[in-house]
Amino acid sequence: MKPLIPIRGAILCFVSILLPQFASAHDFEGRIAATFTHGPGVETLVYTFGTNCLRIERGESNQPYPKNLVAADTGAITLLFPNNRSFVRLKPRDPNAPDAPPGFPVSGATGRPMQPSPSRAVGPTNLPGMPEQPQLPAGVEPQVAAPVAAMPAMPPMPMERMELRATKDTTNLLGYTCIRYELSVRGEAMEIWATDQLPPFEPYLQNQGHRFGPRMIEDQWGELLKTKKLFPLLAVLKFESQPPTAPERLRFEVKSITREKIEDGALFQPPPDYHELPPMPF
Amino acid sequence: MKTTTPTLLLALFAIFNSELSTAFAQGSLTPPGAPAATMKTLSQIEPRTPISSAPFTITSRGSYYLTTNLTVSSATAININTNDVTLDLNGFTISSTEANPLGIGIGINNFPLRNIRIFNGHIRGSVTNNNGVYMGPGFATGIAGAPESTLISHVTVTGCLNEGISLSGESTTVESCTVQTVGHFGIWAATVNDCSVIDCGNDAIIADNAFNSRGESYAGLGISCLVSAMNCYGRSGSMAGIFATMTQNCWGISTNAVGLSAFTVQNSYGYSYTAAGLNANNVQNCYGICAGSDYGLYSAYTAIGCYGQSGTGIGLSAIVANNCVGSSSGTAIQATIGIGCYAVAGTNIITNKYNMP
Repeated sequence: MKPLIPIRGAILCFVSILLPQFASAHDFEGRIAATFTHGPGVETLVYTFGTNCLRIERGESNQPYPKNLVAADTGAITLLFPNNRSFVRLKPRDPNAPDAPPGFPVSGATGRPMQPSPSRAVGPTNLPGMPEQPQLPAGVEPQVAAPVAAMPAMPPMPMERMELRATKDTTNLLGYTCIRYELSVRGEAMEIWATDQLPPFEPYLQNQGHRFGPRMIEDQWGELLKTKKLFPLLAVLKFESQPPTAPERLRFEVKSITREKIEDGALFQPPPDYHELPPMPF
Repeated sequence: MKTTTPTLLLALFAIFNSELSTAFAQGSLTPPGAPAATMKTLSQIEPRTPISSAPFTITSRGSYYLTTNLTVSSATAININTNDVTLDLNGFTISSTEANPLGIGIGINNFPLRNIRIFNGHIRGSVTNNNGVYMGPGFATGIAGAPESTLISHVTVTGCLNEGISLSGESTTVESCTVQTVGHFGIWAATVNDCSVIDCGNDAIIADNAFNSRGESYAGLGISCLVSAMNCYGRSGSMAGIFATMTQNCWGISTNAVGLSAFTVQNSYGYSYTAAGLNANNVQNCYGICAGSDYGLYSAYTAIGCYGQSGTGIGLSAIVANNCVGSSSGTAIQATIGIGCYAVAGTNIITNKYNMP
């Protein structure tokens, strides 16, 4: 009877390799290759998951594209810039920070005092504050008049809330059970097949994140998936008003998923000849 | 009687007119003292402190000026370590030959210094752009620090590994400066006026407010403004040409991202080869053009007097489109309310139409 135990263990291990859904999403270690199509250009993205860190990089080598290092435990992101051998450590987002309203930028680190604290219900989180009233010279009394009203808070702008809706449709993509999610905003429809059997999605950053200005659906879908701890295997954004044969606005498609032990820890550290630069305060 | 009156008048006139009178011609017979010295001291002629070699550290407030070109082989050329300093580069050039750039052309240290003015000269390294990779000897950064109440004007910066002019403090102004070929940011300051930045590895201009300026970058944003961009030109290869809270009279162009993106946009032009030409909440008198299949002009709320054009996507999209024109091989205008709008090419998808076919 004794030899049966290791055999059972070996069988279980073998099955868990063959059926990835047996393994926990947090245990995933390996590589995911995907293509990202926006307009005529097709980009390749490679996600390398180590034991406690994620590396995201472009597959193309025609330009020195930035690379993202994401700490799995804190969510802290380090951007590597091969173009001048530098790196920037971004501050992880405060998990207790309120969500910005849809359509408005998510506030990053607040290094500048002119930025008000973010508000849950009020619009842009990065508008400058009201300047202080100038002081009157000594002996000069203020004129009797209606008191100066404080700067009114910016009224909340009604915006169509982006919400990821799960459907009952399921399918199997590359060995992973995926649920179909829908995201629809004013004439645009995004269909996303995503799984919870892989680590949460992390959008690729070319730079230090979105700062000002309104955000379109392509700026937000990745964050919505990340919040729900899902990883997309296929995502397609199209205009609802156009026929099915019309060009897609955006397509993200995973081409391969490879489970493997990532031995090279240096992949998840800034190279030694890189120098650190401070992050922008916003 | 006729002869005595003129004589009396003449005599009286002669008494009171000293030029005609010789009665009071004698002055003091005591000779004047020795003449006073007319020579001025050197500090009276040039009260400023000359700088003729580098590295040089300014530790006393006052006015300084370069007397020659300066070159360093390592580290920072000029350090400013005190408040209330005016540094006139006097038309000269500060350069570095440091092989692995770490030094700064002019470093403003001891945060937070205030009341610094630097003007009229050049900071030069030999960093070059080799297909997107910035390398070579020179400075890491042209001018750097976190001072307050600081003005940099009429300075050119070229060939640095990191930033051109980087002032992260409050109330900083960079005016009439140019930056070219730097591996990271071009100019970072609270206010940027009349500046030009081209060939950056990251964002060209980062400011609270930018006016009359031009920013071009391949990998970063052309112009990024926390508050407003006015009369600006921003261009980028892979990110937005202009990113701001408000823009007016601007041109934003991008190859792979939104041409111009802001909450409110007026009298501006956004162009993108692949993504939305112009993306905003409220737009007035603007052009948005996408050469591909995305939106020409996308407004989350209202578009007034605008033109949107797309290759195969949607020319113009807004909740309320007022007196707008759209063009596309697909949908010209998509709106919930359309008032007096017109489709040059393509079809309109408008829920409620007023004063239009």
